[in-house]
Amino acid sequence: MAAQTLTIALAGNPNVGKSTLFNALTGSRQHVGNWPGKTVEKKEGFFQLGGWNTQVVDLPGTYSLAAFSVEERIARDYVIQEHPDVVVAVVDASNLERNLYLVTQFIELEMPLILVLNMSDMAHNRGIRIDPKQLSVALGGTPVVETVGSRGTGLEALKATLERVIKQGQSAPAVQLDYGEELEAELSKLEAEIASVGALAEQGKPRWLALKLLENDAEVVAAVRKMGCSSLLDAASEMIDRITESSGEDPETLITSARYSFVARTVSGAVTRPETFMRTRSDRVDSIVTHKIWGLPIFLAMMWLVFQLTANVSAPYLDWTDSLINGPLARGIQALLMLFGLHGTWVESLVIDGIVAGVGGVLVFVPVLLFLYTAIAVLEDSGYMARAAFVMDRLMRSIGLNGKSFLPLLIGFGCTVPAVYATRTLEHENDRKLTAFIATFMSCGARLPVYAIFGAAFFGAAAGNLVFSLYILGILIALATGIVAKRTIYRNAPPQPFVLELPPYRMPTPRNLVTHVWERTSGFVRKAATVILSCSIAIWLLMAIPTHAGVGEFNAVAPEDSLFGTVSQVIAPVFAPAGFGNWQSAGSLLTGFLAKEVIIGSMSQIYVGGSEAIASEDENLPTLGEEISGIVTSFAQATVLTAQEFINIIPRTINLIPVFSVPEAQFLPATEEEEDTGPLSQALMNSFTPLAAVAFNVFVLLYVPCMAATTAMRHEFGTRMMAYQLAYTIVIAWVAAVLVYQIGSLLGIGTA
Amino acid sequence: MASILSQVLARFDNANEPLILAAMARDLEIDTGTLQSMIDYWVRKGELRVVSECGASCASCYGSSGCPFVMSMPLMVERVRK
Repeated sequence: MAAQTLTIALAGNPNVGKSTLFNALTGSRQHVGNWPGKTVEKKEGFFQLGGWNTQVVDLPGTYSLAAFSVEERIARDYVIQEHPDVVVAVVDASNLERNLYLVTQFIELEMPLILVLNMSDMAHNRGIRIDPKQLSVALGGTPVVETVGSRGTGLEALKATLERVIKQGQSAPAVQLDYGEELEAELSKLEAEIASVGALAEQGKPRWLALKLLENDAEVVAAVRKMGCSSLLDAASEMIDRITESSGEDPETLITSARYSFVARTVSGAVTRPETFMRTRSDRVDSIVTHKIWGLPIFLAMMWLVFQLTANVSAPYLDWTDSLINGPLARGIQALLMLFGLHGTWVESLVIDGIVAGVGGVLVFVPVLLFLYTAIAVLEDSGYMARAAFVMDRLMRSIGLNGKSFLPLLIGFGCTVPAVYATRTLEHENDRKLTAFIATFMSCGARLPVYAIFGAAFFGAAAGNLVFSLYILGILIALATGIVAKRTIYRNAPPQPFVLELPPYRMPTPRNLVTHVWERTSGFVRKAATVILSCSIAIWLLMAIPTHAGVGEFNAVAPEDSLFGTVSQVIAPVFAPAGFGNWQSAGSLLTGFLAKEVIIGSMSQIYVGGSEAIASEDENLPTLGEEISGIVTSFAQATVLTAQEFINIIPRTINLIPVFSVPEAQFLPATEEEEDTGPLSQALMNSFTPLAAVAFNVFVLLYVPCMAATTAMRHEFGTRMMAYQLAYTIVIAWVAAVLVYQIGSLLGIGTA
Repeated sequence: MASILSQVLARFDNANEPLILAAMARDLEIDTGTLQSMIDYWVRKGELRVVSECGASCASCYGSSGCPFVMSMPLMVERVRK
């Protein structure tokens, strides 16, 4: 007897702790290889059970034995062909209903079976009470053992059960699934026919084979055909037709449903769940957050909060970065150039007026983007973004748009390029084209620096409201364009409803937040070091070249007489009805096609250059110690002011309601807090009225996407579609900016 | 009476707006995991399709896990239009 080897197959769904049990049973006596002809790992191990040398085979984790995946085929073939002495079905006790589906298929195979309720501690903690005796009865006397694999609890009980089952002589569970009267009648007939063909015995038990033929299982049908039993296949085929015709459902669906019904009956008799099980805390929060009425205001409130954080709370750090780049950094670079005898040369002009002003002018917005990307990452990781997609889907569907479009549109808040590619998730070409077309109106992160500088210059503490309004305007224009296009050129069948799995709410982990924010912000910095650097040099060059004789020479020409200024002056009158018909604005908008961040870089070069940094040779520059002390002190002040701005979100929100006037917090004396308006802000205030500034921002929001996004559009939908988009965005941006300026002027708002 | 699997499919056919998996499971009095496996069945049969993420980028700001702006969205399943 001692020489006899028993074989136990360990089966179960993925992630039920099967491997932990396998290790606990076999210890170090394991062999790991591959299943023959497959790349799926095969684990075998041995242990002594009573007097038997016992082999344990760890089958691949599967949800079913339908033989659709490699893992399912391996598990099924092994059980049928190798005839293990016992199948130990490991299930996750806290997720019993789903796990028992696989168990029903072992019952159909009429295999000797033991059920292991693993992770029973987790089920217990969730208030799930399983009656093992009741469960065993429902499963036709299948022994049931509770274990906690990770702690080794229940392992001895499992071994004792295995030994008892082996000693008593293995037998299959004494229960059969009921597939309904009609199907059972056909099943009996087919079973009898199969039993009469001796050669088929190797393929499985007759009832199981009959089931598989009625399910039209490709592998079993092929095996039966190979044995020349075509009459059997014909009979099965006729039965399938009869059942389908009379019930309206094909046998496979009926059989699968019968398994689920069996599981439901089993669970209802043996499992008690707490009332709260069916409705988790996430579900309760969702009933408010995704509510038909409240869902949209909550989404808007979230966005409002994001832009308060982005535009107002980040402002002190923006100022600090600005003073760092245009102060100590620029002075340091200038000192270095002096050291090399380059003071007053065109090289100094290129570095200070071109690169520092252009690239530095963009890099000062890193804090703004850090705040934006942190806010988005928090919403994403907490699970809120999925709810936002759900809420917006309902809104979009109600106006005839495909709700799933909102996913690419959400991505568009970060960058338009992946938003265009993300339209591939949509089924229909028309929906894809339309979504990509309107995605450009979802304001990407690169436009934010423009809103931030204008917001800070013209609206102070209300800058967040300007940014929020622009984002909302972008969404409204996108929806309006969608509605019109959907009723005219992009008519489709109504979108199909879908089911969305909302992940449970969770606290975002610092690690995930840091990864998200770093990857997104570093992309912006990398762009500054490549695209924006190149653009800055090109713009400096264009601004250094005189267009005709007598207006100056290279690097000694008034900006308006340079090549850049002359070209900009040609198109500037187009923007006059929108209130910003100066060549500086026109030139900046031209460069914005390369990348939206370049607009600010160009403005910085045009309006400011390196004027703040450039000092004469005999001027007393601060010492290194003074510079470092200044940087540290101003950083500390910026941190205090950021905390102040964060707290002030509350009074500012309340004060939106006209009857309230809650005082705002002030952590630093007014003299220290007072903002030192930067040279670019000052220049903008001299060149724009508040109304013209809003019109300019509206134009930036709506006009052509950047070059990368335009290329993506062409790549996905062709040149014609790209051209339509370019033309449409230019027209809509111009019309919107003109309307803002002209209506505002008529009403006398922000004209001075 | 239609089988439980056909009832799942009927929910898709009769819905006027998107459905939340957990809410649908509650209505059908089954747990979410079981509903998920029923949906898998219909996906395999070609009646439903999983709307998967599909992102690409301009390769100018690749993060370690691809385009940093592609958001990880939850599972979405829709009826296949025949």
